[in-house]
Amino acid sequence: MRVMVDRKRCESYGFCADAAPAVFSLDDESGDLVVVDGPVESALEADVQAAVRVCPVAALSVSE
Amino acid sequence: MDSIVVVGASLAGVSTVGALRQQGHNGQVILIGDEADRPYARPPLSKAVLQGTQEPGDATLPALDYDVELILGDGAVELNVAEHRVGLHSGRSTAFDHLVIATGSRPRTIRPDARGETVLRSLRDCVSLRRTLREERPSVLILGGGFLGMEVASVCRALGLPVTVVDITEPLERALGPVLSARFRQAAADAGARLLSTEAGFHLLGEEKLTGIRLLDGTVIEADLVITAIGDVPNTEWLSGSGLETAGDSVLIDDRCAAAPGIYAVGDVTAWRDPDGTVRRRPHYSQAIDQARIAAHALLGGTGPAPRIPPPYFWTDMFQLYLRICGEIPVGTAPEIIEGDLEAGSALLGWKVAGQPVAAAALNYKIPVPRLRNLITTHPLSVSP
Repeated sequence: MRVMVDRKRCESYGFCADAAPAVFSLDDESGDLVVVDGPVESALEADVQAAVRVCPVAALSVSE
Repeated sequence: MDSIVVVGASLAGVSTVGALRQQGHNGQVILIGDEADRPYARPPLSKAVLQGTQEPGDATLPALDYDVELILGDGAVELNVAEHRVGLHSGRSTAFDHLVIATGSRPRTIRPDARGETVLRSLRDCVSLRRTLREERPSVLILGGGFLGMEVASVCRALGLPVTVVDITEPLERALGPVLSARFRQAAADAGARLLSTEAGFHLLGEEKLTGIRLLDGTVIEADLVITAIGDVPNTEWLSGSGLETAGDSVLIDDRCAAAPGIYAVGDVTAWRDPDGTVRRRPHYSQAIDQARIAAHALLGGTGPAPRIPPPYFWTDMFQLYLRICGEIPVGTAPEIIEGDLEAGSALLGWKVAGQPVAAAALNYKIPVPRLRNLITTHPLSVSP
């Protein structure tokens, strides 16, 4: 599973970072969304799906 | 494997299903929703989707790729607690071991039968209102100056439509306090929205379709379209006779989101008692997500670490002002300006009660959400550079 961010939509609400803190965080200075590189570990897939779901502006998606 | 039934397929219900899976539940879940549309998020419905910069489909929540039996277009009409059974509108009935009530709320209307009133809550409401605003280009009168009413007013102005907002208090004052709400009213007025507060109230004009209002001094305000935006009412009629405790129409829950043994409630349908006995509800997006985690944890037996629950978080976006709030703004208390300048339109604000920080807000001010939260949770009111 890979995460995709639509940067034009992301407004850094931070709900994804609460749902999947091992994958998403907000840069402490800029507030911009930071996503860990590479494919998502299988143990974290449910967290990532939760993160995608709670984004209020539908900026996140996943692909296999 | 125990059967779990979640009634209500909006953010709270869908998040609960997701949280159950996140927390290790592998069995089946039945998710029941009374609307035919696939589950969707509401925040864009009064903002980008209404204005037309996003499409209605953009509000759809990602599909749950779990073992979920999704029943849409069939609402719950009855709960039998003793038999652990939910009855649906279609006549079907479903047994459960654990139930999660997530039936949300609906728009409060002025007339008990809602006759002639236009509201905005569901995706269907949004699609219909969006079409009317864009194709008929009506003059608009909005009854209610809360976040919803003012966000819709902002969309109307962005579309170039004349709009008036009427409330019995100053718009947004109850939610944001006098200082911050005044900044929003100024932005609304600058954008050409007409705001009116009429403490004495008003009479509705029009029968099958509202045509305006008459103030008690006789002034008549007419518009092609009148929208009611005066808050929401929890959907708990289907629970009457169940014996579940309610308060002000909400399902009363404890700090684990439990309403009764094996029965939980999450989202806009809920209320709880504060330690001082006051009944509180907080029908916000972030609450639905937070309660979903709490309820899933409790439902699954509460083993494993309890979910970390951040302080309440809310945002609004109108008239070129983008506001995020952490905590709850104490009514009537003036904020401290931590950074920036409210008049200039970009500021970081903090509120204290008895010397303790209780709320922080960023108005057109770029700050990572965790740092906004830190202003009220771990640090005294200060910003590290």
